[in-house]
Amino acid sequence: MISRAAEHCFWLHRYVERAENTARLLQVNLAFVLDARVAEHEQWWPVLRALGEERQFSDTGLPSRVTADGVQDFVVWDPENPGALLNSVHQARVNAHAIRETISLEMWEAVNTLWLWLTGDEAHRLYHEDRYAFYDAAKHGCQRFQGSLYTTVSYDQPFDFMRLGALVERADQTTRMLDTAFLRAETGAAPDTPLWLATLRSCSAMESYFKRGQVPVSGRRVGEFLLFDLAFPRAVAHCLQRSSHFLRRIGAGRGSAGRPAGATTEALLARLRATAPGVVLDGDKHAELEGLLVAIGAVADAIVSEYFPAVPAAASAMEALSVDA
Amino acid sequence: MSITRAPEPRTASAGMFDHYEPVEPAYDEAFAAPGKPRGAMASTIACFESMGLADVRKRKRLADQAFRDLGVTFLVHGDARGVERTLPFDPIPRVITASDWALLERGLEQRVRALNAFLGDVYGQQRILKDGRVPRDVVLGSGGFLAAVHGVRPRGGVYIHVAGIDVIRRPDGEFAVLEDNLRTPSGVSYVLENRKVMKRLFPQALSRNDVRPVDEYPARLREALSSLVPGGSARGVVLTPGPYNSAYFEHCFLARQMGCGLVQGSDLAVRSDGVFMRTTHGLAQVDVIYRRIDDAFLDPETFRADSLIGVPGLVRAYAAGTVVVANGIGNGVADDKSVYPFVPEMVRFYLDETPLLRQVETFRCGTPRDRDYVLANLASLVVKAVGGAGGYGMLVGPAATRKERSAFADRIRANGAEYIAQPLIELATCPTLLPARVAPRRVDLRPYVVTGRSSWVLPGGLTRVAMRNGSYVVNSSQGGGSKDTWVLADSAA
Repeated sequence: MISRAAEHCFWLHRYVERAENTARLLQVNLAFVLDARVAEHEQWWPVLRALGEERQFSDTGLPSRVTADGVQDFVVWDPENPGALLNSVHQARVNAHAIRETISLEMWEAVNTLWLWLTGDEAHRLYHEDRYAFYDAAKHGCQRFQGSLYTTVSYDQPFDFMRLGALVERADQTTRMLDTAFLRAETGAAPDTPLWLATLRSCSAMESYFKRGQVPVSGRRVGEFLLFDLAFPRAVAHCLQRSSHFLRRIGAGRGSAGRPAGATTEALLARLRATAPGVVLDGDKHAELEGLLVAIGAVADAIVSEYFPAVPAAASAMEALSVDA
Repeated sequence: MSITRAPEPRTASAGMFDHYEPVEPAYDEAFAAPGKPRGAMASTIACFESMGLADVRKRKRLADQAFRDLGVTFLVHGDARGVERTLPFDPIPRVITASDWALLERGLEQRVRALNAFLGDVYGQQRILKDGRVPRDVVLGSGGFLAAVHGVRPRGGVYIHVAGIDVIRRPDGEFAVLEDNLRTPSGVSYVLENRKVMKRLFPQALSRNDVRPVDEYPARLREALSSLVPGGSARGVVLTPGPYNSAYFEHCFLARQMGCGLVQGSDLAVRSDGVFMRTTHGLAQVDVIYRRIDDAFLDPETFRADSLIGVPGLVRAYAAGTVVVANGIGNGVADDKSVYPFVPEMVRFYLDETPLLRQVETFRCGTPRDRDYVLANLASLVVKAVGGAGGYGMLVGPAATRKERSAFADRIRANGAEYIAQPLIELATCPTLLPARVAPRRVDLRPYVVTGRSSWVLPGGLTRVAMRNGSYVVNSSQGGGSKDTWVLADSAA
C-alpha cells in the first residue's frame, strides 16, 4: 500500500486508542477519588502524569488548576494540550480524512460522528450535567470505530497498520499507568486496594485479572499481570506479541533481514519474556518502567522509519489542515 | 376529569404546491401553468402533497444530518483554513422525460466527439486553424493551450475521459449548452449521494417512478479508463491535491468506489518514463491516473516550478505513452470560454454533422465589433472572465448596480480578450423547498459523459439550484444547492 496512507492508518488508530484510554482513565478516576480521601491535588495530578501531560499542564502557568475540573477541562478540551481528548479525536479525524478511500465508509462515519458530537452542544451539555455519561459516550464513539474496523475492511495492510498504531499506544499507556500507580502507592496518597482496583479498571482489566484468580490484589500482582500477560489485550507483552505478528504479516516475503521494525519488536518481547517479574517489580520500578517506555518508543520509531520515510509535502499539508475553527 | 381537544387541522397537507407560481417567461420543470403539473412530474407532486410540508421538511432535516454524518462536504476558501460545508440539498427532484433525455444524450455525445477531435487536431496538425475555421490567435493565445504537449497523442486518442457539460433549459423547453468543462469537472459524487439520500428518505416518491439508476458511474469510469490500457488489468489511482482541496470528498469517494488508491503528488515518482507509487513494499508501477489536479500544478518540470502537489516528470511519462492521464493534458484550450463560440463549427468540420445541441450566443470582447456591442448593452448581458470559473469574476448586468457595471466596462476596455458576454438566459425554474413554502428557483444541469473506447452518458447529472430568490448563479461556491435529477426510463407505454 501507499506509504503515506499506511502512516495515516497508524496514526488514525493510535489517536482513537489514546482518546478511548483518556476517557476511561478520567472516568475511573472520577469514581476512585471518592474512595481516596486526600487533597484534590493528590487526586488529580496522577492523571496528568499517567497521560504524560504534566509538563504541558504546568506550562499553562496555572498550578492552582490541579483541581477536579481544572484537570478534566485541560485533559478533555484544552486546545493548547496536544494530548487532549478533543485533539486526539481531531487528529484521528484528520488522519481518517486523508485516507477516506482506504478505510471503510462505516469507519469514517464512526470517526466523523464522534468528532461532530464532541464539537457540538450535546457533548458539552453532557459534560456539565453527567460527567460519567460523557466519558461513556466518548468511549462508545471510539469503540464504534474499533468494531467497524474488525467487520468492514479486509485484514490486509491498512488493517495491520491501524492495529499497530493502537498496540503501540496501548503498550505505552499501560506502562505509564503502572508507573503512576506505583508512585501513588509510594507516596501513600491513596489507599492500597482501591488504588490497584482503579488501576485495573483504567486498563479495563479487572474482570480478566480476577479470572486469573490473583488475590489478594496487590501492586506486585497487578504489575505482573499488566506487564507480562500474553492474553490480555492491554498487557504490554500481549501488545508486543501482536505488534510482532502484524509486522511479520506486513513484511511477508521480505525476509527478516529487511524488517528492522519487526526485529526491534521481537527483541523487546524476547527480553521482556526473559525477565523475571521480580527484577522489574521488586527493584527500582520507575527506572525499569522508564526503560520499557523508551524501548516501546524505539519500536514506534522503527516502524515509522521503515515504512513511512518522510514525505515533506504530505507532512506540511497535514499541518495546514485544521478544522478547529 | 378529561380534557378533549379537537384534532389539529392538517394545514400542512392542504397543498404544498397550491400557491406555486412559475416565473414568466422561464420554463418551469414541474408546472406547465399554475396548478397544472407536467405529466412526468405529476406522480411526484402528488406524492409530496400527500406527505405534506411538515413531513417533507422533517425529512429534509434528516437528509441534511445524513450529509453531515457522511461528511459529504466541500471546502469553501476565503480564509486561510477553509470551512467544511455541506452542499445545500433540496428534496424536490427534477424529473426529465425519456424523450427529452434521449435528445440531450445524443447531443452531448456528439459534442464530446467533436471537442475530442478538436484537441487531437490542435495538438497535432492544426487543420482547423489552417482552414481558418477557428481564429489562430483564439486557440494559440488561449491560456489553456499548452505547447509542451503539442505532438503528444494520448492512449487511444482520448483526451476527454470525463466531460461535465453545463446545460440550461431555455424558455421554449429546449436544452442549450452554457459551458463545457473538460479538465477536471467535479460534482458527480453529489449526484450519487443525493440519490442515496433520496432512496433513504423519499422511497415512496422514487418507487412511483421508473427512475434510471446512477450508481454505476464509478464502475463505468474505471472500465472506460482501463479500456485504454493494453492487456486490460490496469493499476489505477486517483490523484488529489490533498485534504484541503475543495473537492477532496469527491476524490475520496471516487477512489473508494472505483477501487483505486487515492494518491497525492508526493506518493508518485517517475522513473525511466514510467510512473510509480511509493508503497510500503517499494515502488509499484501505475497505468492509469485519474487526476484531479489542474494542468498548471501537474508537473513542476514542465509547468509551474513552484507546484508542491505535482509529480516531476509526469508529462514525460505521458508523452512516452506509459500511462493514461485522465483527463488529457492541455484540455483547457477546448473549454476556454472564447473557444466555446466555435464548437458548432467543430461539429461540422470534424464530424460533418449538424450540431444537435444549441448553445448560447456569445460575444468575444477581444474583437472590436463585439466589444462595442457589449459596452453598449452591459445592462442586459452577463459578462464572464475567460479564465474564471465557479461563478467568480462575473457580472450579471441586469442585477448589477450602475457603479459595478461601469467598473466592469473599464476592465473590458483595458483587456477585452479576457472577457466574453452572453445575453442573460432565463434559466428554467424548479419547485424548491423554502422554510415556509415551495417556490420556483433557477436551475441548470451538469450531465457527465464518460469516454474510453466509447462514450457513455450518466442518466441524470447534477441539477444545481440558485437558492436565493431571483438569483441566476447556481455555483456551490456562491451558495448554490443541488437536487436529485431523475431521468425516467422509456416505459414504452
